[in-house]
Amino acid sequence: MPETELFRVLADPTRRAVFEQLCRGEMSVSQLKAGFTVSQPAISQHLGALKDAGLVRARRAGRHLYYRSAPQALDPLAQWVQRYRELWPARLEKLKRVLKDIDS
Amino acid sequence: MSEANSPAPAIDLECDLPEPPEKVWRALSEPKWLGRWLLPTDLRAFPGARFSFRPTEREAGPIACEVLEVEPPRRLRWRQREVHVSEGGERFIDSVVTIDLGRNANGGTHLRLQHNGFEISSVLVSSLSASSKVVGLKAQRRSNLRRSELAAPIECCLRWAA
Repeated sequence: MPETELFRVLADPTRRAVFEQLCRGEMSVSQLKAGFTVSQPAISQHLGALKDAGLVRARRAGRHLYYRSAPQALDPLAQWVQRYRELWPARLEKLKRVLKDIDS
Repeated sequence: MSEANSPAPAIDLECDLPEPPEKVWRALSEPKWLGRWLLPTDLRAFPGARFSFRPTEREAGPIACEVLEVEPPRRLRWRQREVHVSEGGERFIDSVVTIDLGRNANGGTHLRLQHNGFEISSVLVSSLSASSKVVGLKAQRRSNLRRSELAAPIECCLRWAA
């Protein structure tokens, strides 16, 4: 799936939140539902879209399905954005120090 | 590079600085100062100017840029193109950086930095054979870029009137 499609899949904020929650650990649909105000069918719909995009994986254990995020599917664009998320605050701190050296 | 194609979350930061916008503008528009807090550069702050940043990591090639907007001392905006090497090949990652300066109540500066429009654009066509190692590819790419549109860094100071 092209990278820009992955970002369209994540454009919905609830879906993004589901994805981020599953980055923290494996969960069943009902466990997931507990953290959201949307209905269980809505959660399942989001999980379906995420699974189609390769962003989450499911594991069957007995009667239950456990979902887990596969964040490596966001390579490389998300990694790029994340890198800048960390870089810019550090740069602005440097700017504050550099400004003290500039005479007016 | 339209926003509609790129719903990826943006970076949007703000901070207050004690220095007035005219001074902060110097730290943005003069390569000597910009290089101290961002990356070594040959930026010239006029619209359409092409310039580059040279990352400090040895393996990384220069970041090719073009000035999109200049409004001293209020706004500087440029687009940049970085090369990303992955298993799938080499791609450009394009993005836009916008820095807005406003005067705050204390006579200092309110700075807003936005970095967005991240997009993967065309795949670089490499002239090397498929059996080249990735390390060799990077070295070749770097020298290709130097020979082509990217200027070598030049020392250039542009002073804007306050």
